[in-house]
Amino acid sequence: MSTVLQPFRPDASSPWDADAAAHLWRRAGFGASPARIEATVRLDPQEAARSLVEGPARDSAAEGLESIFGAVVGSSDDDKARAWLVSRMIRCEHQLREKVALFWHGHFATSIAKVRDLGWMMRQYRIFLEEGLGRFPALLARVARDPAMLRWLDNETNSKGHPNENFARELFELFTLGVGNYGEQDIQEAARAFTGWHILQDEYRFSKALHDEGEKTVFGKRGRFGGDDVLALALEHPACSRFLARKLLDFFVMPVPAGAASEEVESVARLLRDTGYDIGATLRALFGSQLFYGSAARRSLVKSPLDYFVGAARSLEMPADATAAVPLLREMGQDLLSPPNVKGWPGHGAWINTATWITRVNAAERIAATLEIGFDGEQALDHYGRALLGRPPPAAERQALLSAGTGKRDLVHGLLALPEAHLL
Amino acid sequence: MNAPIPSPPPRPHPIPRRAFLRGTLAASAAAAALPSLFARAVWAGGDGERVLVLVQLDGGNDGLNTVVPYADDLYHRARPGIGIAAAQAVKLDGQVGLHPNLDRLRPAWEGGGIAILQGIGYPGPNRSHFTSTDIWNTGSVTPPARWNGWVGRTLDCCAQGDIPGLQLDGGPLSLALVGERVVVPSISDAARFQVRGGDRAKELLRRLAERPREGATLDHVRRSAAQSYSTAERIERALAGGSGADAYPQSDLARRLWQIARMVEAKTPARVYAVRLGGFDTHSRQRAAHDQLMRTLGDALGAFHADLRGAGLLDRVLVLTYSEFGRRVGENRSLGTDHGAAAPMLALGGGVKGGVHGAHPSLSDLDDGDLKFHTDFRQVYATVLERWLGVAAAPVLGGAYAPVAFL
Repeated sequence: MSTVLQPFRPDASSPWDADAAAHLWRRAGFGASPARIEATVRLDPQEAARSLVEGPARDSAAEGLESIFGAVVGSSDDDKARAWLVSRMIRCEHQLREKVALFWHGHFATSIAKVRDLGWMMRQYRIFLEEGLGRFPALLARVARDPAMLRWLDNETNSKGHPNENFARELFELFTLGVGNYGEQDIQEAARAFTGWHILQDEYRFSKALHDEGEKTVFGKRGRFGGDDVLALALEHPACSRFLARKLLDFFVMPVPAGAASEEVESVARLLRDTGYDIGATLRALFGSQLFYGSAARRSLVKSPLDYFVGAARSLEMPADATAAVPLLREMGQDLLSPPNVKGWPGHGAWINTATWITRVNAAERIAATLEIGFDGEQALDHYGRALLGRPPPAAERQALLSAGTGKRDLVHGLLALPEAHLL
Repeated sequence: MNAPIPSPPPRPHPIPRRAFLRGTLAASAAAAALPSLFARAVWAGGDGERVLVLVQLDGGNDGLNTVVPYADDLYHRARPGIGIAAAQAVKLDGQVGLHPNLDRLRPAWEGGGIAILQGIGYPGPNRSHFTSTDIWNTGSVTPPARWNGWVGRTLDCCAQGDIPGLQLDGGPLSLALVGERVVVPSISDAARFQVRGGDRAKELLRRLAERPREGATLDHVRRSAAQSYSTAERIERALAGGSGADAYPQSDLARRLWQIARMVEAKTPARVYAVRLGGFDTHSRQRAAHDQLMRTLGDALGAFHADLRGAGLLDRVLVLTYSEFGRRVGENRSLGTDHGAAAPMLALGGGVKGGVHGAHPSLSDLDDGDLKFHTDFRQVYATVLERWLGVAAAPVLGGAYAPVAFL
């Protein structure tokens, strides 16, 4: 195994402690209470990574939420469905499944603004929940046949003699390869292979009559390719594993500068290839690696609104109102089922502007106002600092918080408004 | 009026800043050498910059009862139940007049501050709310491959910094504002910029964002937070006195326009603001509902115009109304109107050439019961881009469109 993906070996300068375990919970989930973090510290780092990837044998919170899924979709109320998804993130035990589903939602970035069918959108999200930690080829094959996707990228109108290139283009550019790794000719030919992949009565339906059975040339290979052949060609393309590695690193580990090759990207790409694109196995190796716990990865990402809000709810173990959160999350710039464009949420620094930041700190005020705070002064600062930041606040901020002469709620409000509390 | 130009290629490509500038600055060799510098000169936020305010009339506004061809008998014959009587119209010339409830626009009109753009549409009009709204917002008649809007593409090219645009209604972001590089916030009300909590708590928050910190990510968040507090404070101060709010009517639209006036005054960095007025899908018993919408729109825009003039901001602001389609010429049996095609747009501001631009579409030469357009809406967009925002229109719109002489 490459050096960067070597198993994490804690030492005096980089110990396996509450801060490290909190880092794991923030990345492989949406954070955890101090008690749960303490329990994780008692495992060794590899055990911890394994338990977050595999999840518990039984997830009763997920089962409870499943039981109302039909009613939520049946309501045709988009915000109710969004609240259901937020509730999952707050309550489900298998946190990584929720986190990885959100990752794929941003990767495949389908919006209800065009699909205009809540049932279809939620069916697509379920694919991310069900296949998100499995093998990418299986996930891709399902998404390519998903009615929401077929509508989102216009493949429902892609027919022999009247090809629509939209899906083929985004398949290469956004889902598997990235720009610069294919030509316009490849797109045109690949589009022909997906002709006839249509929707009939809410389901994927292959229409042989509308499928172009002629020969196509994609990436220099010739054949009477169908859609699945093109998916396989994309997966075999040397750019595919690097492209996915980059996206996984960028979401779960650290910002990856565009373009330049790096040892990190190469290592993760190799891991993806070696495991047959097994996402769960790849993440497990990543979450147990030296790279993941290195200083370049810690607090290197900006929390998304969901990381921030769900994270606060989970860390503080407060009864969060997911329904009330939906409009707030929208104003913070993360409207589930409506990613901002085909590329998904840009993340990183783009999360923070005047409108989204003020919404974040005002949400913090609300959160603080609903808490029963049983501690005072330094004690409260230590307790909530640990819960919200993973470690006590830095000395200067600590001093500012304590000397402000404000109440306990202002203290928690201040902690949540610390720039540090917005780092993932 | 210019003939419509064929649709652009379906896929507008991302536009490099250099290409954007080529259109406006091609003459200057120095400009070619310093593209980014000039981009800043064009777009840097705040001071004295021109602002575009988009007002979406959601649902398909009845253009014929907005700009009324009161002198045309065919109009009165087509609308015996819901027509505007000639005597009631706010006459603009010998042919057309405004809906009587747009009467508060009269001072702006008389001062040359309103351009009425007649007969706006596009070839092969689509009568689906969703599809036609998408067409207006993307600026593409054929479905664009990329889910982004004409304003979003403009901001992608040239906008810098914090909030390049702002949607004031808190709903899902309008497709017009969707970009790929730039993220435009959508909030329900500018009062949301007010930081909650007591003075000491607010002082504390500010101090927590003050200290430069180790680490690129942390320092980025810290700087963004500090900038947010100062922008938010400017907005809060601008809104705090409620200055001039009394002159506005009571409506969400009016409140938001007042807020926009204050934000422009406070040099908030947004270059484009978007607001929405809904309820225009008037299939039955139209008069009462549409009259009320015209009252809401006219009173709000009239107050906004007067406010901007009083504050010396009129020359910095261009207001543009749009709707996904007009409505059929003939009223239906429910005293309403069904989905139609061509309709007028209103442009207000100190920069417009006041007056009626283009002939009213013929009421005898119809397309399956609908008015025919003679000016493509993308000609209007091109005019706004080139002559108001100062950016080359062709890369944004994916083709060249002849400007309309209202700016």
